[in-house]
Amino acid sequence: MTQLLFILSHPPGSSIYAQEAFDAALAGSAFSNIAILFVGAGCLQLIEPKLAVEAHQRKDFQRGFRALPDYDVHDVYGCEDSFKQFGLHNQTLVIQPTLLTRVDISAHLNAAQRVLCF
Amino acid sequence: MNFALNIQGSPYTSNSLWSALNFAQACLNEGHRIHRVFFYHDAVLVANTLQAPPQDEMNLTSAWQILGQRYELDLCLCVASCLRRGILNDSEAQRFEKTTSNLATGFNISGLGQLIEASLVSDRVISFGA
Repeated sequence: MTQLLFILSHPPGSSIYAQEAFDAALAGSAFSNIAILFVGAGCLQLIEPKLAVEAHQRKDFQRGFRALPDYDVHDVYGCEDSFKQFGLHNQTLVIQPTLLTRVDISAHLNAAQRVLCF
Repeated sequence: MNFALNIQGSPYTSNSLWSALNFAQACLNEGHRIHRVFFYHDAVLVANTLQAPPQDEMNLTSAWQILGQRYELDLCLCVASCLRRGILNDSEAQRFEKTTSNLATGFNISGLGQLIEASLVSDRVISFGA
C-alpha cells in the first residue's frame, strides 16, 4: 500500500523546485513505501533533458529517475491528460511512467495514506 | 486532529507562508494539534533574521515566531534548502566559514527526514505550494 504519494507539478527548468521535490521523494523512499505522480507541467520533467542541461548548465537531476527501482520505488505515474496537453507521447522520455486517467488519479489519491504536493 | 504542514512558497512572491499561518492559527484555535511545520524550497527564507521590513507592513518572520512560541510549535527548516539560499545557524556558518549566521530565533534547521516523519505520524499533511 502506498504510504506517501508525491505529486510533482513543477516544470524542470524554470526553478529549482522540481529538483528539490524529487529530493523529498527520495527521502520519503528511505522511510516508507512511496509512489510518484507527475501532473501538469511536472510531466515535462520526464523529457530527456540533455540539451536543456547543457544550454542552462543546470544539474541533470532527472538522471535519478532511472535509479528509482534501486530505491525500491516502482509506482511511477503520469497524468494522461497532461501528456496529451504537452504532446509527450512522441517525445524521448527518461523513464516511461504508467499513465493514469483522471478517474484513476482520484482512486490513487483516495488509496494513498498521505499525499504530499510539490 | 494532528496536522503536519509542508510550506514551500517564498515570503514575498507567494501567498504560501501567509495562508499557512492563517491555517495554523485556525487549527490551533479549534483545538487541533500541529506535529510539525516544515519549511521547504523558498519558504525557508522566512527564517532570515536579517530581514527588516517597513514597520507598517506584515512581518511574516515575527508572526511565525509569535505563533511558534505561543503553541510551542516545531518550526523546522530543510537544511539543503537553507544552505542554497543562505540561511545558516551558528554551526553551519562555522562549517562553511561564513562571517555570520542569520537563523531567526524559534526556527530550527534539520533534514527532509523530519518532513517524512511528520507526514507519517500526523493524521493529515497539508502542503502550501510555491
